[in-house]
Formats: sequence, structure tokens, C-alpha cells
Amino acid sequence: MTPFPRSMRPNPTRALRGLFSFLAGFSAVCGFAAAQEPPPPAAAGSPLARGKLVAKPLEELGPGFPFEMTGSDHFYVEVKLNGKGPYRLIFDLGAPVTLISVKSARESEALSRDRKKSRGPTGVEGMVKEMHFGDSVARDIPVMVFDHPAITTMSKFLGKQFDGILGYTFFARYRTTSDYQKKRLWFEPVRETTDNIGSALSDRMLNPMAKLPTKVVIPRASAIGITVETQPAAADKPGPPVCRVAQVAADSPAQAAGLKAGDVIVSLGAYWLFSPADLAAALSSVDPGEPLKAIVVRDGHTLEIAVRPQPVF
Amino acid sequence: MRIDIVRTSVARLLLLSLAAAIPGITAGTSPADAADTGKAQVGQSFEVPYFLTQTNHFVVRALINGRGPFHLVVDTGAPGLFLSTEAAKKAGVEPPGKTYYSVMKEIRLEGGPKLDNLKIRVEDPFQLVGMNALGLPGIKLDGLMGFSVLARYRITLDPTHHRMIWTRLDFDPVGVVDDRPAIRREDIPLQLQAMEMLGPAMKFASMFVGKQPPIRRLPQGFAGFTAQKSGDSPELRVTAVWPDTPAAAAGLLAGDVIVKCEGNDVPDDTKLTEMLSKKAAGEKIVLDIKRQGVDRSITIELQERF
Repeated sequence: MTPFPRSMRPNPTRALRGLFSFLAGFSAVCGFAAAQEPPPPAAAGSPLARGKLVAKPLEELGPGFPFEMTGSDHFYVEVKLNGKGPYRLIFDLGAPVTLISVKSARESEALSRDRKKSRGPTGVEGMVKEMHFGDSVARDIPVMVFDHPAITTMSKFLGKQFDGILGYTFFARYRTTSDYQKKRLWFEPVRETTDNIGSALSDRMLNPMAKLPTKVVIPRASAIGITVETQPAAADKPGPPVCRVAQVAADSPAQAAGLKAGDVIVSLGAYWLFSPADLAAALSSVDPGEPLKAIVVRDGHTLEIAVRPQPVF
Repeated sequence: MRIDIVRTSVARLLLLSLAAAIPGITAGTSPADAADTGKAQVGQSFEVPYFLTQTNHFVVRALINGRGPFHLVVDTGAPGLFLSTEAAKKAGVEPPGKTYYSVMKEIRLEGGPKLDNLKIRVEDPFQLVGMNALGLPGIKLDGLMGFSVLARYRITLDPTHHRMIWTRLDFDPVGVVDDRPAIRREDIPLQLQAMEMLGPAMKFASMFVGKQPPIRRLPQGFAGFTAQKSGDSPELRVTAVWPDTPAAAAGLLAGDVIVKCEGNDVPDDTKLTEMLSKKAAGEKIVLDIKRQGVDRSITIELQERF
């Protein structure tokens, strides 16, 4: 078995402390689940944050970077870490951190020389100064250094050495396009830096009983002039809850579009409406004056209605 | 044993998804027929809204066989679509018999992508068991969505945007685990079996650390006015007040200059937007305004309107 970093080797005192951080970790785990709206963009109202996200045609994206399937329906990229390698990193959208093996961290000197500084409750933190994809380079990627059993096992079963996982701390910086058919990835930079979630987790672990906020306000940048009521699906017909128009304001965009009290709005733009918060989300990312498509059920008939939300506080 | 727990907890914290690799790595390759999986949408692009969890997971909503919505983690670290037994029951998906996979009639994702007759695995990955035990109301996670769905789309994911773009490819890949028989417990490497104990362990621990209270998603409250700076003027001026709205009831008038909101300076409408985006319906806002040279304070009670 691959040795664990020193901080994780068996040692009774450490084990107790570790057990505490294990328990403490549960609050962090709660955080794992607590849903939030996507974080607000650095500059409110930036073109990335509102309006339509347009996927560039492939020819504009350029050649991109190749990836390979692992043989287990995962895919990996080959990268150089601080000029060493190549190393095989599994591309994992479900991974909150970027993870590299102890061996690759040692070889690429990704571990801080100050051991105390690099040791966190969830493992050893490191920093990859340069991660090369072919000729392109990503700088200052925070990583966790850890021999993950699943990676070790994968390497063993698939007969190919894997060195880690490319996770959120990497792709939070890029608009990433993936295409399994072409087996290619494209990255367009959108942010300069990302935190290492390891640090954020350790902050929270220090206070295991801290409760998360109990409410999240969904911003609503525009309005159409209606009130709604949500109702559970009918008892005899299992299905999602519905959002019904209660009132339509006079001279409002909703009235101009022909929405009526009693209409069930199934979706607005890309959003399904199961709750008032969903309606706010649908109205939060609209280009002023652009029509939104509403799918509406009225008297058992499904209608498509174009409504133009207006910016209003 | 404690050491193992510590280790595996670390693993768990670091990486949610790869445990779903188990079937992938223990399976042999076997050919399978590609299902009819919504070919009608080939070439179409969809905007798919997502949530980002505090732990940096991308969650999308799905209706399965018309039921739901179910919350699924977009996860290239999962070889297929894993759905919890509870969600599967709700969606009317038959539990697997002797085969590894069940077949779901239809899955629709928010924003439009739709697949038919998709093979899914009904299982409770320990990650989901553990997280849900600790309380995820409103956004209880129902499954992990991996290769068998994601590979059929070109996906653009911009972490600074609220929606992804999914474009249906003319591509129906056959997974290496398709049609494999039910997995045998002894085939699962011991290290990964140890990780599986985490779910129940977290369920147990939730008795001590408590379950998190539900997170309520509330829409921003509605006031009913617009404000803008015009030309070179440094003043943020109310440009319109919609009739029969809280702003109108509070006596706000077009032309009023907004000086402060909740005691803070509001130099422009961007700042005001930011401040009001945190106020839910039922809350009040206090605006300090100037009307014809006279200072006034106006309190608006925000309502749930859209």
C-alpha cells in the first residue's frame, strides 16, 4: 500500500485528534449538501453573469486538448506539474478539489517546504505553480496531496498509473467545454484565482456546531407584474408542484403578453417553476427587453407565450 | 479501525464521486445495444440551469418519468446515472433484478435535454446517504449523473454563469459496464468497501451533531420602482414608480434622489441592485431620499411579486 503522508500515519494521539476532525468534518459535510445559488460574479452585471451564455462554435474554440478514456467510463488528461511528468489526472466534475498523489507531489515539488503550513485537517495542501497542457499553462493551482484509495485501486485494476484528480479548484477558473465524441476539452479563462476548498473546510471544522444560514435570497432583477401561488401536485396525479398565476397587474408586461389569473406557468426561459424562488431565478438573468418564452397551461391546453420582463426593484 | 475511519473520512471529504468508480473498474467490457435515447434532439442546444453547492458540486434538476424534481450531481467521476432507491421509488423506476442496471422510461433535465430508455443504477452511494442524513432539505441530493448521460452532449460549463449549455451529439457511447451482471460484494476492493461504511457512520453521527435546518430559497422582495443615474449627474434618481406597488404605497415618487439605502451610501444602481438582492419579501427597506431639496426617509415593505 502506498504510504500516507506523515500526518495520516497511525499514531494514537493523532488518531484521537483525527477522530475529532472526522466528527467535526460532518458539519463540513453538511456544507457539501447545502445548496446555494451560484456565487455572484466578480462584477455584477458583467456580460458573463446575465443574459444568454453562448457556446462558441468549435471552429472558434480552436484545437483544444485531447483526453483519453480510462477504460472505466472516466476520462483523464496528461499534464506536466511544475515541468515534471507527464501525470495522468482524472477529470472529475464531482470532485471539489484537485488531488495529486504523494509521489507526483514529491517529484514536482508541489508541497510547501514549510510542512506545518501545508498540513490541513483534510490532508496536505500543496500548490502547483505550473500545470502544462501541451503548450498551455495554468498557474497556481491549489491541490490536496493524498493517495486516494479509489485512484490506487483504479490504477491496479486498469493496469495504468493514475496520479490524481482534476477537480473544482482547477475548472472554477475556466469556461470548460467537454466533448466525449471528439475526446477533447476546451478551456477559456474566466477567473484569476480560486480558493482551495481544503482551507475553507478547515475553517468550518474549527466550529463543528456552526449552523449554516437557513435562507438564501434568490435575486430577481426584473419583473412581469404578477403574483403567484404554488400548489402541490394533485393527490391522484403524482408529479411536481405547480406555480399558478394569482393576479396580473394592470398595464404590466404579463398583461401585455396575455397571461391570465389561473394560468399554470410550467417554465419561464430555461427554468422550471416549482416555487416562487424558481420564478425569481428565471427573472434574474434576463437581457432587458428580450422576450422570455413561457410555457403555460390554461384550461388543460398548453400555450407558448412570449413575455418581456422589465428591470425593476 | 479509528485510523481507517479517519483516512476514509479524509477520502470522503476530498472526493465525493469516484467511489462510483467501483462498477467501472471491476467490470469487464461487454458490448451492448445503444438505446433509443432521444435522437430527435441531435444538434439542439439547451441552457441548463444549475446550483453550485457550498462544496463546489454542480447540481441540476431532472424529472424522471414525469416525477420529481430530482437533484442530480453532474459528475464526470461517475460512470453512469446513479439514482437513490428512494428517488427511484418515487419516479416509478423498477429496482434492478438480476441485472446491474434498471431502465428508466424518460429523463428530462431543466432547460430541455431529454433521454429515453436510459439505463440507470438504483443504488445509495455512501456520499449521498451521508450528506442527506445530515439534512439537505429543499435540495436533497437524489443521484449522481455521469458518463452515460454526459457523454451524449457537448457541455459548456462556465462557473461564473448560472446555466450550462448542453448540445446533443450524434453519439451514443456504450459504457463498459452496460449489461453487466449484478456486482458481487467480494469483487469490490477492501479499501473501497471501507469507504462505503461512511454513509451509515455519518447517519449515526448526525444524532450528535444534529441535522442542519432546511435552507429556504426565498425570492427577492418586490418594491416596484426603477432608478438610474442620468448623464453626468452624480445623483441616483427614481425614474418610475409602478402603480399599486409597495413603493407607490410608501409614497416614493419619480424624480426622488436616493441618497442612502439602509443607512449606506448608494452611489449608483449597481450598488442598489446588490443591496436589494439580499432582501426577501416581507422585509422592509429604508431609503433616505431628497425631494426638491428636502430630506425624507421612506420605508418600503417588500412583497412577493414578480
